Amino acid sequence: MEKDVKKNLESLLFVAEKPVSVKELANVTSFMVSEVQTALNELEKEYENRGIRLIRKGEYFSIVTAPECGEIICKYLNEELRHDLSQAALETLAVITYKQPLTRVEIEEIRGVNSDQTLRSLLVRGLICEIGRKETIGRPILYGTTMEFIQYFGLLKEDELPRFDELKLFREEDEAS
Amino acid sequence: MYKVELEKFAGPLDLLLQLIENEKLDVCELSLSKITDTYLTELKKMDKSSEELAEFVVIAAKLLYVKSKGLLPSIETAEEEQEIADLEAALLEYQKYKEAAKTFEQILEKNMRSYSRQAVPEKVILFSPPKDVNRQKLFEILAKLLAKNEIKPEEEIIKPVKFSLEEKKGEISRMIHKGKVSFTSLFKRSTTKAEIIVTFLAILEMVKQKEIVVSQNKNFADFSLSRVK
Repeated sequence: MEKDVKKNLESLLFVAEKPVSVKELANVTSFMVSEVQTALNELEKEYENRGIRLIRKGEYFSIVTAPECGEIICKYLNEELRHDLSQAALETLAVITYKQPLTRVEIEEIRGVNSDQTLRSLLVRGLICEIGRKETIGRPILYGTTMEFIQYFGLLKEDELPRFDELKLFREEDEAS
Repeated sequence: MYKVELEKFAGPLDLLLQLIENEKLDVCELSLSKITDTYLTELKKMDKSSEELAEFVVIAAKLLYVKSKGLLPSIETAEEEQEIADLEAALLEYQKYKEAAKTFEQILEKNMRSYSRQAVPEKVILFSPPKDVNRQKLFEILAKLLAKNEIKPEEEIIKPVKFSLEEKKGEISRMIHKGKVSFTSLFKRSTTKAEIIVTFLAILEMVKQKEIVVSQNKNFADFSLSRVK
């Protein structure tokens, strides 16, 4: 009998309340990790023109609504789509995105300013999270971006963001178009 | 000198960078010395907490050094030279992240966002007693608990406090003088909730003051308290 890997994964991800790792998907379905990977890739392609998308953050996957339908969803949820991140928050988020994992002190070294408050608000909003501890004196918290960050930016995966050394180029292109 | 209108800045590096960009300069030693005065003017205008201000003052000191060096080239030392190089490097790096922040803002302005499922079916948390529990056992446990807690309900009338933390500490000290005392025995004579709380606080306080040590032989066993020798 042919294994319905895709079908099973799709229904599992549909009902999952939080992102599920490839390993977890393989464990629950008893499919091989490689089978799961292939099926996820296929699902991702199939969703390209659909109202739902498969997004990933590292090993984790989640089914979400299509970014371009954000407006409709917002209307339905009675939410505001316009972002309200402060300059400091955007800057901090940028540092974390391109340097993760890193500690608060390392963030402050780059920004040259105390970032306690900003970090706390980003944490509360779920855009960043603690992803471990640095094995050094005091074992400081290491921060990284989250799946919610990817959703907030309407991406499918983090590497859709311009590479750090292509940032300016990316913007100029965009302004020209 | 003309007045510069600045956007709100997110820190000393941000201010510095904005000043340099306003003058259409690149990040280098010369431009740092050029904008020193404007930076200091901004610093004077600032209405910030001393902690925040300190971050700005550190940079101001570095700028003043850069400027004075231009006037008196002989004061240069290797260490300070390194500091300027570091400041330049920090500015250049910070500039890139500001660039990134602008890009992020642009992405966000497209108003694209995806949502995950909203109504999460809540997992029902069930109480699961150990398998070997039966009515008889539950009854015994309850009886034991009731026997242990001979706490009289507190009366409505507010009575003057009959015990203080100091008194309780003294009491525990006396009891413990002869040797080990069990944790539960300390509460036997407590008649009210308040007294239990004060007794417990006294124990904590004495542990903190390193007057007593608390030990436990095995999990869930009673604690025993003894004097620090």
